[in-house]
Amino acid sequence: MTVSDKCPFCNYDIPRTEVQCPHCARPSRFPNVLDASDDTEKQSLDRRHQTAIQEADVRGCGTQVRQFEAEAACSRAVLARSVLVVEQLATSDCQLYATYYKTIRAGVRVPTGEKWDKLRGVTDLALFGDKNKDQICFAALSLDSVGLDNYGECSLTARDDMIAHRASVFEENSVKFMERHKIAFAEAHDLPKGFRAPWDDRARLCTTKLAAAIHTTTTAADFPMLLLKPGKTSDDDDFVEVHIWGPMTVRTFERVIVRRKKNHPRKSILKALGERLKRYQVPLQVM
Amino acid sequence: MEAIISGQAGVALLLLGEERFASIHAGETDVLIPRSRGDFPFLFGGAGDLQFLEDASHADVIERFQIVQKQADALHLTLILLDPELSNEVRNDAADDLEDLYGLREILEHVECVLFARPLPLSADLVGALNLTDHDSFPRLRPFLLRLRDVQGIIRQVYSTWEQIAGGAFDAADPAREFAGAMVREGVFRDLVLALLNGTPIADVYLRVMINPHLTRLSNRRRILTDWFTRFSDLDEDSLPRSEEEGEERLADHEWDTRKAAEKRRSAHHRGIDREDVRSKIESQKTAIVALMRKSNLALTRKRIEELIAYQKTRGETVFICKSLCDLAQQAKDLGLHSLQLELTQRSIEEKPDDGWSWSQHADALLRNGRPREALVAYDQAEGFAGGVVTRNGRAETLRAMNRLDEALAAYDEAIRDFPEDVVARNGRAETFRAMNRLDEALDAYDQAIRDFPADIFARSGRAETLRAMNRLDEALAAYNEAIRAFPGDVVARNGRAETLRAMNRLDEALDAYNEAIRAFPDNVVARNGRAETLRAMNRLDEALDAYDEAIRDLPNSVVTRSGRAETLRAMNRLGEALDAYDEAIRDFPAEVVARNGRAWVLALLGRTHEALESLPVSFPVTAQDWIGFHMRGMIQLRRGDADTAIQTFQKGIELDANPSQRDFFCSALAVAQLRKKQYQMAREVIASIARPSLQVEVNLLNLHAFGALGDQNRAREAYELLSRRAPPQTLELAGELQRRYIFRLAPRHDDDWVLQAELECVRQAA
Repeated sequence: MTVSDKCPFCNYDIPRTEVQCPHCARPSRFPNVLDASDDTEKQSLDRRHQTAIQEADVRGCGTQVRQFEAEAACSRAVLARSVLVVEQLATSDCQLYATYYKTIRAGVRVPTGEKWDKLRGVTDLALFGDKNKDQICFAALSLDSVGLDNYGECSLTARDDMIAHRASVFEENSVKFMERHKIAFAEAHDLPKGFRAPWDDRARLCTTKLAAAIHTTTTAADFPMLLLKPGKTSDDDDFVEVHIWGPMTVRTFERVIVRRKKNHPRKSILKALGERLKRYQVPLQVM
Repeated sequence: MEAIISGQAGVALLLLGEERFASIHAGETDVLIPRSRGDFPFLFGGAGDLQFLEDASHADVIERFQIVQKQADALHLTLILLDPELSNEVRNDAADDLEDLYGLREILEHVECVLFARPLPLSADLVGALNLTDHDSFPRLRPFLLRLRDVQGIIRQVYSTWEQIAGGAFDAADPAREFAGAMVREGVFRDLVLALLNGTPIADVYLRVMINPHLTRLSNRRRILTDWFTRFSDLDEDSLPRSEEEGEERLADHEWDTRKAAEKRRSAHHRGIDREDVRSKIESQKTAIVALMRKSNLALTRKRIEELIAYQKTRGETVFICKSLCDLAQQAKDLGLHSLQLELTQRSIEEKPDDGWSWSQHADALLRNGRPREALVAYDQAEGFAGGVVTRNGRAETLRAMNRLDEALAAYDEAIRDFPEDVVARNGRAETFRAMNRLDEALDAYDQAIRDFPADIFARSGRAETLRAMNRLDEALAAYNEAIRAFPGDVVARNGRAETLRAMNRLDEALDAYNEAIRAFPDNVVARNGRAETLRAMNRLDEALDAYDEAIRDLPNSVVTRSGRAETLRAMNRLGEALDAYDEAIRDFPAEVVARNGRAWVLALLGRTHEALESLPVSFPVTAQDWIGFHMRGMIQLRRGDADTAIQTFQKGIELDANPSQRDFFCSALAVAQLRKKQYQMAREVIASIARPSLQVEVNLLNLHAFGALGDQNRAREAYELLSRRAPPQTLELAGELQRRYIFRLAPRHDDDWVLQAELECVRQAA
């Protein structure tokens, strides 16, 4: 069953998944934000949040939890990517690179055959509907601009003003959430409520999720690791997932941090990246 | 196990079994991280180079992953190297890494697969990349960049034919892109470009593509590929296999034949000779000989050639000896060693008198050595031994050099009729129109050639040159700019552009353009000479001299450079040294007329006019160079005060020189002579008959004089105003003197003799 909204301009019904009103063509609808801003979602999250705060007060760490919430309000969406993917992002408006990278990318598909079936459903990512699955980019909330480096040695911090209107947060890795709750992809539109929020409400979602892990001895220095904890395996990764709708360019980001392992990435490539990012006033830090 | 690998993402995801996954990451391939399938989009998000491996072992996956990673790095580093927006420091670092990476053939081929699929965009700085990479420090990278430069025309051709096919074969952009993407990844574009470059059969490429298992899933591939491949001339659709099975069979047969041929070559057929080894030795000897030619060590060059011939005589058929001699003759020609070129081709026809190719090469050598009549005879011989289109074109070129322009045109028309796919004949025909001063027809002919052969740079340069001859300089400049954009690796267009800027009197820009051309093509003598000439035109004579000295040191085999240096010394009034320089040039290039004519003028300036006239040919002029010598004769006669004889000489030239494009040079010289004789009205009429657009400066100067002397101040003023817009520096003093006399009506600063000499110099420089 498709959820419908009313267009705020022409007042006609629009399916939630449409990014533009089919009647009056007014654009800039972000289905993920609309889903997260749904009244029932908000009410469910409110209830859970209230419960979490009350429990924290009872345990005597209400101050720490509120402090965490204040910090979480300043958290950033951080994407983890490989350096070559970041380089492509940084050169996406340069014809020289775009010409050749487009040709490589064209037509890459998971092959047919039984061996590859186990990946087919994942690549479809039905969470956002078949139509819009390619529009979503995944990130993690971070307090120190470092992302999950098991997914890429570069952490790209998105600018607030570039994503706030089109980003939503989910309490954990959404695919794992669905696996854990045994929710089939066909039912993805009907997830349990209260586990997602629009960007501006992320702090409350973080608090709701993590209040139970905050104690009286928890300090501000512990907050970054609390919010984003890379594990030995991806099953052990713990983070708040960010869904950002739409395209990104180098101008979407405010900072890039690279973790070098042994001789990777190459210094020559990092130097080129640094030079390019400098042009866009995006600092590059190599650790 | 199965695996998904991405060099861009720097990760390999292993599918270990039912719902069991693990990843390996760049920089830590010994660490296996357990994964779930939900990680897939996070691991590969943004990467476009996914590869899917089936039935691979762990070791296979790691090996493949490491290669794929290097391939991704190499591609990106190559783009960094080509990126003009990055600092040289960054680009140098990229070059260093690439030199290592290109040690692996698979890496280089991968980059070629991608870069050969599209022409380089305008933002690619290949010239800059070449400048950063000398051969000694980058023995792998530099040849790759040179090859990338040299195949741009072919890439453009292959890509444009693909675009034409894709436009009609697919209903939407996505399927077209998917098809093309698969072609790129499997190296089809690359294979096609290389086949066209090397002249190997395109049918072989077609066969390999048809049986490639990674491409079998593409729908309509047979129809699309057949349509595409048959656009390239050597492929006949009826000869293509009708099914994959037939294709496999034929490929297997072809590979068997190739193996058998290789075995045959290696067999005891030639008394136990290993043909590959012999071929390799011969190539190595030829390389050494060419190196000696470059150093102008001709005695040793000849010795080594004899050794090579002796070696080949004991190990092969005569036809291979002729091939070696002709190859070396071509090299000698490219280096300006025309005498040596002639020796080598003479030897070749002696070794095998019935070899059409040798006769054709010999004819070319005769022409380069100023013996066009013999060249014609040699071409007839070549034709008798089935010479082909090269012989036909060569013959037409010889006729043109002999000023037999109608016959040259007819010869080109015949060649075009019999060889419609040959672009050289088309360009030759256009050039002949230009020599006939039929510039509109020349332009049309070039336009047609460009339409039919869009990948040919010579047609584009020829068109631009024609526009320049028509004095449509802005259009010529635009045409050169376009040619450079389409063929960034071509030096002819760059030189043409610089020359056009010089003709427009934009000398600073011309200098910059030559400097750029030299940076990209340091061994190009035309660019070096052009730069020196531009410095001379700017009156920066010391720098011009230095530039010529440098060019002679680096490229000793150019008579134009030697003459240019002598001319610069003349301009500096160092006439004795100019004479010595001409003497040296004539000694080293006895067949070259340019140096003789220049020397004659210097003798005349030294007052040794009798000697000057003696040094010029007395026989009836035949070639264009002969007529230039005849023109010089008239100029020297005029200089020594014999205006009447000079007038007769110039009138003969007008009447008898069959090359209409040279007629105007005789007219301008005749006008100078008539002005000297105060025959102003006659001079006016002759000046009015000058049609050559590139002589406008001279026409305006002479008009200024003639109208002024006739008392027609308005028209004199008009001529002066036209002149002042484009007058090069060396004409300013003369223009000022004439203005002073005839417009301001002031007492002259210089006498009439000075005016005559200045006008003569002006007309001589334009010729």
